[in-house]
Amino acid sequence: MSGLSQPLLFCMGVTKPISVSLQSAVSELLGELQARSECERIGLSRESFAAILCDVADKYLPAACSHSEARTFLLSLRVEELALARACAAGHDAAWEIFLTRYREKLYQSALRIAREDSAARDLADTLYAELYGTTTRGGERISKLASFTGRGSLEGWLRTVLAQEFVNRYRRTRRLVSLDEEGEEGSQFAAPETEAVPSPDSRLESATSRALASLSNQERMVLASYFLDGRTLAEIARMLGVHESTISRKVDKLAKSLRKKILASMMQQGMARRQAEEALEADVRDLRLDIRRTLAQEPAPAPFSDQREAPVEARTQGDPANS
Amino acid sequence: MQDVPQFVLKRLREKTVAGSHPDADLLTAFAEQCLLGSERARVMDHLATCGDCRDIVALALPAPEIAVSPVSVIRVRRGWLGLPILRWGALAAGLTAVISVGVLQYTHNRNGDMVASIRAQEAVTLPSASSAAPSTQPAVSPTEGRKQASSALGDRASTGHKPAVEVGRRDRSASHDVIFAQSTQSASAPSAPPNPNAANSDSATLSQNLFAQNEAEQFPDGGNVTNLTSFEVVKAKDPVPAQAASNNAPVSPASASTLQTSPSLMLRALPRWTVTSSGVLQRSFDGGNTWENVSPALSEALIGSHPATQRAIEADAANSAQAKNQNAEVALDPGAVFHAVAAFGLEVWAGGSGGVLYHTSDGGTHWVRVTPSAAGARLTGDIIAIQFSDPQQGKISTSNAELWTTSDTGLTWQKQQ
Repeated sequence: MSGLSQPLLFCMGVTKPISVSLQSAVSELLGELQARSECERIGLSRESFAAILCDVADKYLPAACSHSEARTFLLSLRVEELALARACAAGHDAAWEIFLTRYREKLYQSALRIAREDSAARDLADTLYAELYGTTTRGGERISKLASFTGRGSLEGWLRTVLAQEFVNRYRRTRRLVSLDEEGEEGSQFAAPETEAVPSPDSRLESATSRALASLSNQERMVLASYFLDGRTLAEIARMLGVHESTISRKVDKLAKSLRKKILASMMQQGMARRQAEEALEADVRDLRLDIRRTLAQEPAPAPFSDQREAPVEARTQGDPANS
Repeated sequence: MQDVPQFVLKRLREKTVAGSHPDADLLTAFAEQCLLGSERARVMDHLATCGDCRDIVALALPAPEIAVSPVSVIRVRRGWLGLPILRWGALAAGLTAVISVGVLQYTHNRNGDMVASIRAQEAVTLPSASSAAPSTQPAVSPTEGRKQASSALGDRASTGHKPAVEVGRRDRSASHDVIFAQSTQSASAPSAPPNPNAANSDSATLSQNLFAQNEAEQFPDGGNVTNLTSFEVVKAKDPVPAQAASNNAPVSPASASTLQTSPSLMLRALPRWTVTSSGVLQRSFDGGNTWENVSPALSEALIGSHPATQRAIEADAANSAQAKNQNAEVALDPGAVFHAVAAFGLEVWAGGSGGVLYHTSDGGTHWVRVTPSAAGARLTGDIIAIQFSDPQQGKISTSNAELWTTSDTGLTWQKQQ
């Protein structure tokens, strides 16, 4: 009986009130999950583990979830990695030892894959380490980023995602701003005459486009955007969605075709002749590839005047020893 | 691929839903296909409109795979192989070939006696031809040996797909081996480590040799008519082949077949390898769709019960032990926790906690435990990374910041600080 009442008491102690069905699910599964997580080996007590489970379930489950929903949710958690991450966050040395042997090398490798360049990768990984150890202080105590891991996915995947988030925040955003500016300038050059020359079909094109896009499901939209906007390969999109590459290949092809067809049909419905509609549609397809490549270029293009710029730098470095 | 008009893309780029970004946990779970129904739909809604989160998911994808075969590295964007029917067709063809090899070998083993007699006749023609000019060559000619080597290789490739069949067959024929081994020991004591080239000599030849040896005492003069007596000629004129043959006690029963497998089949049978976050070594024969746990320690135990193969492994190790290595420590460690795996063709290295390092050169059927050592120091830390740039050149990093390198497939190791 004590095994049942302890976690219940502890769940009560969590900041927010916990639903009854969740409480019963936690107390029912606690023994099994605890055995799977081996949390005591790495310094987590049964009580704190139960509190973590309540905390995680509370974050993702709706307040009015049923007992079976709560059960399924708890069983889907990666409790072993959850316990490890939280034990690290609580500062247990045994947990850190396991964490470092398992993930230190992988973390640097992942950072390298994401940043594609050694110094940026090192910088990225070091920043994450600092956050994992908990340098940010809140009310006098250190908060480790690992305390926010909830075991929904693998810890390794989570680390990669956190690295990617950091990378997008720091590096990609600056690059994207630059490339968007470039695109804005150059895009206006060919966008302007088009809108001025044929104003009336343009509005019809607009509404036809929004209608066609609205008919897409979110997954279709995501596939389309990943392929045409982000320049992802079919293989990458397939792995993001967990399907086979050929499925995505067919899907992209089908989507692009049906989108064209829908826009054409919609424009003709609005009283445009077929040829007129087709012309409006063809108007800018040619510039598309170029535009995508420029927008999403991973590496900034080399400066156009690099030769001229390098020359004075060299002269200066050669001159320096003489000066000193 | 059909292009999409630019104005469509502009519209796609617009952020219609501002909402807050899903947290790292949800994105990870999404990419790992762990989210259910409504939760997945919610994240998908966000990804449809948020380029940043799409980037994050794409960037956080795990490394495509541990590159094992060059075939899988080639990424065909819209090649003709992209048609699923051709892929499945190729897979089906490969499977059919493997199954037929298995069935053929099964019948070969069932008709073991017949095969043995046929093989004996084959083998006899060669020694009787060479009996005119006796040499110190073993009873099995080099070409014969190579043929068997390749059939043994083919055998490995097929076991890649059907490990159960392989194990079953081994058990079945293990008793034969024991008998052969014992009778050979009584005939002449096996002393030196067997010649690796001759290790593939087949049991049929061996048994016939023994038989011939016994017969030689009964018919010392011998005729030239029967197979047995032609064997006896070899025996009488040149004792060395028999000696070599008796040293061949650790024979693989698998090599009793002359079936050959094409290299392309071998390539298909190459598994992919990975280590789970809980330290379990896994391999996949279907490009990563299903994974099976592999325990080198367990398979080692399995092999350990097989006296002939056991001796072969030890003999291999003895050959390589000319260096300062302590290979073939047969200490069983079923609780080994793996952290790293590296595969180069059929050569696979797996390492983990407490300096546990296993090596296989046949895609995971037989494992040998390796303990790198150099100048009195041994690798004892947790292995956290293994890299092999080719089958010979490799390096291992450990948790205590040691770097071990080898340039000869792990025979000798150098420690670098």
